[in-house]
Amino acid sequence: MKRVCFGLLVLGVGLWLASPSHAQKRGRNKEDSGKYGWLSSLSGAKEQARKTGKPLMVVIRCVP
Amino acid sequence: MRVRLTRIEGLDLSLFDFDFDLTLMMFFMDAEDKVYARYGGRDSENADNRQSLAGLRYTMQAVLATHRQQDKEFAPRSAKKSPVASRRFGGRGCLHCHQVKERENATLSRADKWDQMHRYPLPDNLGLLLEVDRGNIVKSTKEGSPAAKAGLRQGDLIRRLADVPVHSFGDAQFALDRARKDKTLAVSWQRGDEILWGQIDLPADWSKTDFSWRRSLRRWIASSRLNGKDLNVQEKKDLGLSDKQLAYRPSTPLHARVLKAGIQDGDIILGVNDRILETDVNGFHEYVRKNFLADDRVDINVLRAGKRLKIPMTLSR
Repeated sequence: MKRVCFGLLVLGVGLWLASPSHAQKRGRNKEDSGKYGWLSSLSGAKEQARKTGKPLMVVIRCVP
Repeated sequence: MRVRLTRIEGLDLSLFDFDFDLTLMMFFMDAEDKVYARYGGRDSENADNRQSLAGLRYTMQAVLATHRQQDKEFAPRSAKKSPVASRRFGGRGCLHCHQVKERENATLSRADKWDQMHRYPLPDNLGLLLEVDRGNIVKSTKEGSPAAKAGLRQGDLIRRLADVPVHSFGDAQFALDRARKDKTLAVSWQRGDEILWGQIDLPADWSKTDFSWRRSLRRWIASSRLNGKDLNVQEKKDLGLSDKQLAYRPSTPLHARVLKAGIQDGDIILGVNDRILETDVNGFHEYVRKNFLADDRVDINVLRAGKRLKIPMTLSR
């Protein structure tokens, strides 16, 4: 019985970790940033701005 | 290139110099750390009523036009003593923007420089209202105000305030913040095809702004603990007061601190420090928040049984 419970627990945790909602929470910021072309590195953005000759838009957002 | 930063530690504050009580600020710059424009800002009423998507688009278009020019115009850079934000500024974990401001406030408190706490004053303080969707266009000027006296009129496009090119409300606030200790502020504007210049006279205490929304100053927000109800026009007339003058009856039971000061049931509140205020009870509270700090000692002007009294009181937090 204990083995069955333990197995179910492991399975449940595994499914939760693999679930889209967990993955979404875990990587939401990065995915959103990438999806809409936002960068999170100021130095990287400056380097790209130098190469392309484009200006930079830097958004400082205090996330509670 | 678009960059979104959600942490302030490690940033150069002489470059990213802004109102650190804000939770959102945008900088438009080139790759060599030269700032074209800022976008952001708020007032005590609402966090959003000075911003709009149309306003952001307007500023972005102005920045792109400037970026394409041969002779580019940049905002001046401030010289801060502690230019890089670090965790030593306060708090554990992520360093919030307002914690940078709290550190500055603590320094000012020790140096007894409270007058410098009114940072990033509103253009409204000079009688200058800017459009939200076009942040450098004059929406209106208040009659007789410093802005009106300088010659600014509705529809004018403000080009520069002192040495700051203005493309947005955020730029205007940045320029005003730099002018807090000055007596005058140079202004350049465009009216039709004409470029005009003038000087805005900066009166004493012009930078005082209601800071009740500022998280960094929450422990210094003053309260009289005197809530109440305005007298009606007839009641004011019966007492020989003008219908616009502040006159209200405090709600009962009175707060213990108010009672301790000596204010009684039935007293009529007329003002503070002998200041005749043409406002209502809400305007009185705003005036107190704007002009005093918690723990300040003031005289509350009271009408009691036909007699005018001055009752000393320490303002609460």
